[in-house]
Amino acid sequence: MRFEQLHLKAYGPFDDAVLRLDAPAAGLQVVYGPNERGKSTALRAIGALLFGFPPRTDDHFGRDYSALRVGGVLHDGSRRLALMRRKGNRQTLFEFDPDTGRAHPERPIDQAAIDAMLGGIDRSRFELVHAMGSEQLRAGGRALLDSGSDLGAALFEAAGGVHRLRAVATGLQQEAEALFAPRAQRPALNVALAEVQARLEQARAAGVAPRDWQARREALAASGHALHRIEQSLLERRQRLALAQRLHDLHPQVIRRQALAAGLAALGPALPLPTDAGEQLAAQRQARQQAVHERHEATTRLGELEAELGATPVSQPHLDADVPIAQLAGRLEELEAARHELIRLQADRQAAEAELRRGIAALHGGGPAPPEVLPGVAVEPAGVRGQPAGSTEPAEPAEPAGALAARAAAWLPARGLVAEARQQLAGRRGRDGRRVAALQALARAGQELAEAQAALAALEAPADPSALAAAVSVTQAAGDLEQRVAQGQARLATADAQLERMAAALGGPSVEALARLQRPSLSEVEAAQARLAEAAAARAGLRARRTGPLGRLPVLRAQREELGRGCTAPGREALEAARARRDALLVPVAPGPGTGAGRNSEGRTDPAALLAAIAEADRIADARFHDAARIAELEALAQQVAEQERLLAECDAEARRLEAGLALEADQWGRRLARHGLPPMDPGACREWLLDHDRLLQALQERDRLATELDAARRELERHRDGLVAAWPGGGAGLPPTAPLAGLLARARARVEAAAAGAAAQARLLADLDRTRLACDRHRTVLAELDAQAAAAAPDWERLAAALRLPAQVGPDRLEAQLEVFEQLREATAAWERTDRDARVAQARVELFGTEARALAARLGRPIPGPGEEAAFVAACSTELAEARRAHDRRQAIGRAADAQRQIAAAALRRIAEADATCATLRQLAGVPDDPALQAAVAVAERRRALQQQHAALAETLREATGAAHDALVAEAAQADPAALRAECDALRAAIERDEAARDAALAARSQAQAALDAADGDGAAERAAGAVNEGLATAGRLATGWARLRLARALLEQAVQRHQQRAQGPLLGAASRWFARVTAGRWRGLRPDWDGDTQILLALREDGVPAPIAQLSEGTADALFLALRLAAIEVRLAAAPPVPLLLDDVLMTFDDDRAALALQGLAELGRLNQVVYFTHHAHLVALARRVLSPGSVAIGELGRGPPTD
Amino acid sequence: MSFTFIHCSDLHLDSPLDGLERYPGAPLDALRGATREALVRLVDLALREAVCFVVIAGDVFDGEWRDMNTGLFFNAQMRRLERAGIPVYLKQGNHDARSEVGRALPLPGNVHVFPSERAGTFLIASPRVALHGRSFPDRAVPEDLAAGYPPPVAGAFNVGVLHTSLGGYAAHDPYAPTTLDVLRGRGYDYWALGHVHAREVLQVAHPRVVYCGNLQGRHALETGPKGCELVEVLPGEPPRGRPVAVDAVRWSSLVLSIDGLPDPAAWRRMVEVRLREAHASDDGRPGAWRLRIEGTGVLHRWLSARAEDVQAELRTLADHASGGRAWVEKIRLATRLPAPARRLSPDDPLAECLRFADELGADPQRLRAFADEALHDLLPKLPRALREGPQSVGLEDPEALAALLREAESLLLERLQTGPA
Repeated sequence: MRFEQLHLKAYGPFDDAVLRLDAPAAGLQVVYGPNERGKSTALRAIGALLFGFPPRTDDHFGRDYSALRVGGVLHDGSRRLALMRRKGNRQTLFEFDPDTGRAHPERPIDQAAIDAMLGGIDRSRFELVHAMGSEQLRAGGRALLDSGSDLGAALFEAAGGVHRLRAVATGLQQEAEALFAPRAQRPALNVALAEVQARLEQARAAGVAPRDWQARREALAASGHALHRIEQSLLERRQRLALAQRLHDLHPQVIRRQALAAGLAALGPALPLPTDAGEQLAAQRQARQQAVHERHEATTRLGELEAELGATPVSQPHLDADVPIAQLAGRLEELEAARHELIRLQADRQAAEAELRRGIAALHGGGPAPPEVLPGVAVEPAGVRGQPAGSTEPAEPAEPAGALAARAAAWLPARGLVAEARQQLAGRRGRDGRRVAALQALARAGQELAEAQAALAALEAPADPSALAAAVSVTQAAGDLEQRVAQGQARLATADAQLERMAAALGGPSVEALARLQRPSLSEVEAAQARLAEAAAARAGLRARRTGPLGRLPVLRAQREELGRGCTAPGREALEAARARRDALLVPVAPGPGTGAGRNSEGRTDPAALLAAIAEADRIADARFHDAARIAELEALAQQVAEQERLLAECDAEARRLEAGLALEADQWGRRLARHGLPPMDPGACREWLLDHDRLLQALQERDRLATELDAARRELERHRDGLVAAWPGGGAGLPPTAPLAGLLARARARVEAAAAGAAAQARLLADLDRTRLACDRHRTVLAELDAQAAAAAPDWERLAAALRLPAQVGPDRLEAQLEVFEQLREATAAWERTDRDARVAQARVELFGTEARALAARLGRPIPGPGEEAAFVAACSTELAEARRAHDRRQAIGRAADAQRQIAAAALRRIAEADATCATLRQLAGVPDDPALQAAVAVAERRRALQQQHAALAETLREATGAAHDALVAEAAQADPAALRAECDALRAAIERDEAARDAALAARSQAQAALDAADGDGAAERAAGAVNEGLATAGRLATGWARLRLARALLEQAVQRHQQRAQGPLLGAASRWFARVTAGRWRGLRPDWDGDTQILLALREDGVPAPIAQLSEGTADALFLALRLAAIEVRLAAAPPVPLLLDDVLMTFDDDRAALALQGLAELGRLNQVVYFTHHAHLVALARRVLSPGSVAIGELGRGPPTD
Repeated sequence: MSFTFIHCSDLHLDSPLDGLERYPGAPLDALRGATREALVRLVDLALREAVCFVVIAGDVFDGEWRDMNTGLFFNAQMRRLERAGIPVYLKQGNHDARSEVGRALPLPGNVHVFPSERAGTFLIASPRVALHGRSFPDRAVPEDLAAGYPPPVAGAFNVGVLHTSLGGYAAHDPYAPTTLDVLRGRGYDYWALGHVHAREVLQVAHPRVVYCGNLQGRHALETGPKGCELVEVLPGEPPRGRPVAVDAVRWSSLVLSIDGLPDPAAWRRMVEVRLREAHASDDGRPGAWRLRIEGTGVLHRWLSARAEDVQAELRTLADHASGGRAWVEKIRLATRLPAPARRLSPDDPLAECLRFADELGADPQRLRAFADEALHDLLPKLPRALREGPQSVGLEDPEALAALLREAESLLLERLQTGPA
């Protein structure tokens, strides 16, 4: 398949760009494109054409994804396919007419058509095998250097487009080892397997085995039986102990009962005395003695009381009049209060009378006096009594105040009439007030109306602001643009400053220089970093490996030395030397000088020497035999020491190799940096530098974008300035075209705002005018309504005035004054009547007290008190009455005490008689003549009764203690030996204590057995533990599968590499050898295979035929070798598959001109069989191609503007 | 007289679920004790339906398990039935024939165990029912036990209880093999069969012959609803039965295809839909899901390159779809490249990988030798449970090895074309 045309319809920076690759005779197609012309974009476009657009791409350059279009014309010798690709999910491929540039989406093309032309190669294979850039070339060269000259790997990588074969294989191995290693502990699968084992142990311990459970059940039953036996024994022993204890306790009581019965029999027959005869006799004696004493005391006290009664006199008249005296004495305070109240009331009455007279005078002064109501009343001005104001005539005698008040009350109008008058008065006053307010408002509204009309007439007609507003709008837009321009300039300046800072931080001379810099790729740096990290890890591993031998060696050596000191036997070397000497003497040798010790001059063995040698060898062997164990241990230690020394030496050797490798790596790295013009730094720093460089490039792009936007904004602003002039009223006359837009806009706004303000003022005045007119009308309406209401109320007013004896046309003020006078007069009349009534009542109370005091004096026969003396008299009577009462009470108390003494004396006499009678009865019952004999008989009776009670109580106790078995137990107790019973009880108690301890132990055992059985309660712990085991197995299974997958993949890879080598080695190595010689301009003759141990390696043959391992090639030569291998693979492939274009992107940029010329010639030759398109941004390569290739074997195209230059 | 009874079998009480790997977010507690929970639900069903009796056709206990707590739990559930007056007729199967738990356990009074030395019959007076059965005397029973079952009891509803692999179940060992003809010939009304874990009605009527399946799926091969058979007997009519699911955890095997899917987002959407459907079909139960990603498409490389991430993502999606009630048991990646991508040029070195893998896939012995060589470090270290049985990783199984080889091939091609991970 060949490309004839590539149509970059809408892709990246391209719009309708066409790249013609159809020079029919050309062997090599060179496409020149300086930096930023889209060379890499064009390469990506080829991928998009053949295989579709990736889901995300940065090549849309602001277009919608669906607008992306790449077309092309393909030819495979038999078929020509013109097609166009769009970005999408379905039917993205359709026909396209390359001549007219017209696409036909309605005519879809199946992807299979392209696949068939490509021979089944997919995107990945195409990009890896049939497209190669300078970075891939360098990576391939490095991979060859790293591959250790492995022939199979080199061929596989070159032919397969794979340049990380070794890393892939190592990665698979490392990943597998991270999962599992046979003797390790930390890899995940090792951990998982150990965990499974641990969980299995836990699961085994979690359950209760049936056999264990049965054993627990049996243990529970056995402990129950043992407990039962102990409890039975305990019961029997306790019963026997109880019986023995009872007999022991009964024995003394039975003996005691027998003694009591004997004592009773000894007292003889009983006398018929009452049981309490002793108590009766003693009580009667004591009672009689007490009664005699009390009678004597009472008689003495009675005499003293009668004497005291005669010495206590009493006043009977006072006691008879005690009620009236007490009543009057109790009213003394009331009398004093009544007198004071009377004085106050008389003063109040005088004041009320004066007020009454002043009221009548006010009534008279406020209008014509009503003579028919108040005839003969002398009307006085307030405050002057008995003398009319202004009168010179002597005053007539004043009428009593009571008559005056009665007549005034009769003259006053009814309260209802006054209330009605007040209501009418309030209504009239309200109407009058509203009328006055309405008249004032009407006057103000009329004035406002006149003012508004004048202002309206004075206002000018406003201007129309719409045109001006439109102009302002346009100006506003221009202002926004001007602001954008200003902001864009500021951002651009900021971006420039930031770029400068970034460039300075990167150490570059300038931003532009840094942007042009051919820097190492990030993957290259990361690879170097990874290699260094790997070496550092290896170094750390080595150190860790050295630690063991280093620590063990001194210990082992010390042990060996210690053991050696204790070993007296000669060493193995001594034994072997002795044996050698012996064997040497046993072997005959030819005579001659130097035949050695133990031989004579003829070379014969000296028997003595031989015997000595034999003896010495045997002695050493015996010594070693006797010390064999120590020697074995010494030898083992020696082996261990040697092993540790060997390990140490290995580590040291490996460390040296590692350090050498590191130094080489660092040297190569330094040279790479120098090639790129970068200062020395480690890969980590370089990676950071590259990331910073990336950021600088991004910032540069952003700065360019800002500049583009600023230019666009400026152009837009210019267009708006033109429109601005046209938009202003009057064609913008008077507006300077270069005036700052802000000032222009301010002036325009002021004008528009002034116009708008005039119109608003006019509207406001018109609105005020209307409002004022409406107010005038409303006020007039109110006035008319008030007049109507006044006319309606006039009849009621006149009727009221007549009722109040006022003229019909009386005004509201006069009416209100009249009402006030009436009110004052009414109050004065009421006050005088109230004080007059109260004064009369007080006077009556004072007079009543005097009358009653005088009546009391007459009753007591005392002189009658005069007026004013009544209170003192009553007080003296009250004192005398109290004295009489005290004497009377004392006499009463003496009488009661004398009666009590008389009663006491009589009672004592009765008790003496009763005691004498009781003693006589007891003597008669006992049959004794006197009291002493009675006393002796009573004592015998009491002794008998006490014995009888003790005997009965003991019998009852025994019956209660023995119950039904009373007789038998009593009999047994009577016969029992207390000492024997005590001994038996002690023995039983000890046995019971032992039984109880045994029972407690049995109870504990049974509880334990029960708990053990209850522990198996159906819980699912064991099932959960088994679940945990299964979960661990699942984890281990997953890890095992993952490990197996990695191992199988690696094994598969090894097999594939071997098989590919076997199959392709011959043709591929031959072609590669030729290409290698060509692209190295003959400085390398070719390639040949060789063996390094079991590994087949690739050797490069120098110009003189001397082979060199691939690992020793320079970087440039390694790159050339990789190119040779890849071109050889393409060439060999042509024998088995259809041609597929080879796209090369500046792969010769590091070649010198000689090599590049030869390589270009080779590519031109290959291009006749398989299309080769070489993209370059180096003009000198274009010139070189023109120089070294005939015009017929090269076609040169160009991307973007500008011709290629030499 | 009409009545209902429950026919169940293969409880395998306390046997843990296989293949579930613990990971953060997995519904650990919901899936533990699933066989117990299933039994509790069975008893709940019996009490709710007030059944006349319960028939257990073998394998109450998983023979390899020896925890007495298992038996005590079983007894506790049987006592619930005893309190409701529901008798249980139990036949020991191959798994619990020699179960130490079964032997040591004194069963409640309502549990009647069929004798093992000869076939026995239990009679229920009202309704008149005769249950015939014989427990397994030993784990292996090569003879036809059904042939020795007693004749039907006249006037009674006759139920034969048998733990058997029947004759045509090659997947199972021959345990008490018999034939449908033998079963028909006994003249019973209903055959309650056990041993096969998938429900199947072998004959609808005269007699009705039913494998009720096991009570709870225990690994990824026992998918779908699991439970018992609720049988209704009406006078003069053949018995009717319907399955009632009592499983506590529902196993499912879901195939997630990449066919025709253009990008990962579309694939994720498809996966979400499928997982939600799967959860809905689980009737709200916790689910144990095996996910198999298969098909041919452009997503193959994307999936192959990030197998671990895909696994974590699928677990997260399953967690979301099920509201945290699904446990992803295993994720199998079995996708292929589209045909053109696989048709490499014969001279392409990568084609050697495909050719060699194809050769190995076509020759099991060669594959075996290749795998032994590559995997010899691990094989002796693997515990037995990972080498054989339901949890086996299949490193010694030709079919599983072939699948693993394909995965290795995909992994290798991806690495070779994109570099090491």
